[in-house]
Amino acid sequence: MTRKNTDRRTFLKTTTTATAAATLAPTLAFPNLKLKPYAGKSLTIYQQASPIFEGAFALFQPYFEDLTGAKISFVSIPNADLGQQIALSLTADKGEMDLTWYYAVYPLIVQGLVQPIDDFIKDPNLTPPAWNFADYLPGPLESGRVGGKLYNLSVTANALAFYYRTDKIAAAGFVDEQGQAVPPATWDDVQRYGQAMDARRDKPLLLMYSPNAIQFTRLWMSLWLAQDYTYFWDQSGKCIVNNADGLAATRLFKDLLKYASPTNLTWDFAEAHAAFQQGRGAMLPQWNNLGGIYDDPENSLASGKLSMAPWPRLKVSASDSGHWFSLIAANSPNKELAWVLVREYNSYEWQKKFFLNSVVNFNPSRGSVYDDPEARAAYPWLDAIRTSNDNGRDQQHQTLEWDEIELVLQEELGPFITDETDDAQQVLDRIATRIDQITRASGRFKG
Amino acid sequence: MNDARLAPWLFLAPSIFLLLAVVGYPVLTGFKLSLYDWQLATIGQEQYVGLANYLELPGNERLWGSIEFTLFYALTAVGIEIVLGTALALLLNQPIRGMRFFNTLLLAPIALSPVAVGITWKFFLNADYGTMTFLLQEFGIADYQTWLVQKSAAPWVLIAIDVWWSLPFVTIVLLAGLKSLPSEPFEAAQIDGARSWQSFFYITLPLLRPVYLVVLVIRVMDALRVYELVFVLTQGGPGRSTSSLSFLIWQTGFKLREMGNATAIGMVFLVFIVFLTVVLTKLLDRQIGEVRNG
Amino acid sequence: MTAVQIKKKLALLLAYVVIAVFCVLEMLPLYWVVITSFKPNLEIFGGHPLLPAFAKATLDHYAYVFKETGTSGVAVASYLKNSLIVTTCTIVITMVVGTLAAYGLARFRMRGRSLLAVLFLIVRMVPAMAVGIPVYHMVRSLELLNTHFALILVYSAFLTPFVIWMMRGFLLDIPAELEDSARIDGCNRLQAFWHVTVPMAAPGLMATAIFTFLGAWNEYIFASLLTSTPDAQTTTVLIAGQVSFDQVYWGRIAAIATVLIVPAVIFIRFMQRYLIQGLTMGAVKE
Repeated sequence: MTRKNTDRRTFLKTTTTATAAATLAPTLAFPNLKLKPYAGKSLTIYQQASPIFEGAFALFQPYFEDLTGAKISFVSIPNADLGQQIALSLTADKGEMDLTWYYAVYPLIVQGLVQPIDDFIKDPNLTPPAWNFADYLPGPLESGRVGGKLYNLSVTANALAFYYRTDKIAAAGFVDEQGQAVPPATWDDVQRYGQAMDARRDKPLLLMYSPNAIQFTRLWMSLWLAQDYTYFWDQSGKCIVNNADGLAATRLFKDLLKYASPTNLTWDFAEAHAAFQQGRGAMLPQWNNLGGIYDDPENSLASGKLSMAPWPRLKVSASDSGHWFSLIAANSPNKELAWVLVREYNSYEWQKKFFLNSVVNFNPSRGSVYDDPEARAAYPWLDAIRTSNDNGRDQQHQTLEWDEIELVLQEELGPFITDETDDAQQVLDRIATRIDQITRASGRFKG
Repeated sequence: MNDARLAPWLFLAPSIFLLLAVVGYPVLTGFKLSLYDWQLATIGQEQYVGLANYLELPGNERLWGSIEFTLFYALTAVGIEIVLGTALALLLNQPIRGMRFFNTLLLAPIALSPVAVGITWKFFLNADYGTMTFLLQEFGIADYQTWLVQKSAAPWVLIAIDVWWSLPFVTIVLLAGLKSLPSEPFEAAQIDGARSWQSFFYITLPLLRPVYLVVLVIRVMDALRVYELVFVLTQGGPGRSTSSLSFLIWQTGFKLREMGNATAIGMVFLVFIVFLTVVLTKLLDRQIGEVRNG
Repeated sequence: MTAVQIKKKLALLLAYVVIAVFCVLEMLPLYWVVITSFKPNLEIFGGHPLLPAFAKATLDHYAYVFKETGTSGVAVASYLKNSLIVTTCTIVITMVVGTLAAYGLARFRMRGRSLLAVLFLIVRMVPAMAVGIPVYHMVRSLELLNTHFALILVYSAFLTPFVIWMMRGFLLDIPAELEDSARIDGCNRLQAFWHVTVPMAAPGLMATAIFTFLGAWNEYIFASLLTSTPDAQTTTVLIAGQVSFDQVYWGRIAAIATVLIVPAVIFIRFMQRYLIQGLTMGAVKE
């Protein structure tokens, strides 16, 4: 599903300037919109308490308040509480929150707690055609569709990708004719690279693990997806992770440990950042929107010496994706205003601004931004981001049982990874049995 | 006097009322809620399922694992604390100058929030820049420790942290108990030619029985509730090896979103604790009564 | 020196060594927390973990704790404020309600006294999470989530039994005759209690208040269940929340933890004498 269509690129290049001009001045493109039409109204937005979100919307807030006359009130909530707060507000008679960004939205959508946005997009009074919905990449867009209706425009489109140190890879001899470092394209390559660099004291590959096993299940899942499956079930709904491909992926995953830092078994997500920023490791599987912090010369020793490649292939290159979905509350009295905000930060100008800000670094979902020369100059690996987003599969999508499944994965894969059991087939059989139990209980699997 | 009938109840009324309202009422609601199948996000649409939540419990593998771990953790940690605490108390039962200063230092861990303790130790045990790695390397013992990710080792890490946290308290209490013992029995025993270990087992221990019981009760009941350490350090993992009952309740209710089941587990846990408290209190009361009156 | 005297000196020496080692081991994490709170981030990751880095010391982390505001316009210091408000109100309520009840249990021999005592003890032993979900449900139905009031009520209820047990022990040590003579002089029970008993029980009250302080100040479970916005959440939840998605802010955690620990340790220093007695329900006197 790689997008290498140069015709489309040319077309986008020529329309980029026109689109930019048009979306930069939505009020002028649209005569009926009064200046400051929402004066006196206010939006309450729940956001994750993190410099990324807080930074993004500190940038955006003055612009939006000036444009609409409305006031935004942000509530920063730590990630651990965010889901609960959102659920509380959405299920109350008068919810406090109008808009938020979150990742586990499917259960909320199926309960009718989220406002679909198709009508807003189609309404020319609310969305000028020049805003150009067609510019949207299908991958992130699809994950926001449930039951044929669109609910979300991702604030950042993320999938797992492969960061690598150009200097270390080149020093190990993996270069092309121009002397540029060549990243691994397949997982066999990854192993070869690992072997070649194994003699060094500084282990070549960093993998994210943690005692609570969240991150390595994502990595494992991505290896499974790279076998060209769309999640774990066959047509009848039976779990097939314990088939030959699953076994191969699981064994591969354990083998990769040989080239990983011995300390990464106790890492958290954040500690993998820290290690890479300290200059350790040559390769790092990570979310594709974190290039900014790795490339920040003030905080990272890897700055200037790194690049990104799409997820290495097994049969295909396909990794787990994790979008931050916009979510307009169905019980909000300000749905229209919330849509205007979503519309505005999804303009070409703002997507570019967020992307180029090294703290925020939201991945764009508009194809045109991927062709913008400034963006391409700042991030030479921009195409890798786009490819990984195109190849991303969102596991949350339409799987209500996901929380339980993820817990099963953590419980079973953990001891396997830490050498307490070596029998991959047995582990996978157990996983498959338990997943089948779960899907039987929920009615999805009738076998 | 007339007021003797009513007066005590006037003094007790605010407490009783507060507890009934804030503890009693939720407990009753809890039993009622455990008879429903309900989810966090759909409060208002519960379905009555009778005893189904309870009937599912024996088949719940996670529950048995949690019970096993919780009991193992509480009994092992407290066992170690009592043995080590006794040894330390015996050793420290001497005229040590500056004991009050030492006491302040040793009581400091009580002032910590369990969350702060958990996070501090998380850093301590970090394999890259944690202090434990640093110390181990200084003593040339090991390269990196990965105890927290091994099913066999992780529970012991939590036990060790609990010992670190509570041993000072146990030691100080036992020491205070030792110091409060009368000297006559010991002098008499010495005259009779008893060895020190004999006077320990036949005089010290029996006299200190109430103190031991109190420490045991307090520590075991506290240890059974362990939550913050698990939440911060291991989230019940690896696998399920460190899932405590309190953690399981949170996980079932808020992660797996099965509030009915979680409430049922909570009620079972509650009943168990009540039973344990009543049994231990009867034991305690007798012992303390003896001390007070004797 | 005789053999016995040498043995005694060796034993004493051993005792000093052991207690010194013990104290060092116990204080090590606290020491680490305090010095880390003054270290810049790179130093925390790269430098020596146990040496304070005086040359590079920074107050940035404390600045965050006391001054920082996010886009939400809420200062992180508001978490501290919430902790203070909730803790102070809890102390007031539990001390008043609990001491009165303790008086009732200590001075009167009414029917149901031992039953009540056991009931109070049970509440003290109940694990928060066992009743956490029903409490959450109740607070949510009353629309009291994210309020100080809910936390104060819940904390008061769960800490009052502790106060009752501690104060009962202290009150039993104060002879009833003193109150009786005051009553003969014309006071009623409450006046006698206030003017005679309370001043005598002052040290015990202080000790109990400190433990109540600790119980409320350090509580996590109910705080995390019942609050999730900055205008109501307490500092313990803030610490736990620092371990977030993208970074673990060790420096901030250390600063917040230091702010949490220091007053608690100071209080303990002053109240050492009474702590043991109260904690062991009178089984041991010090």
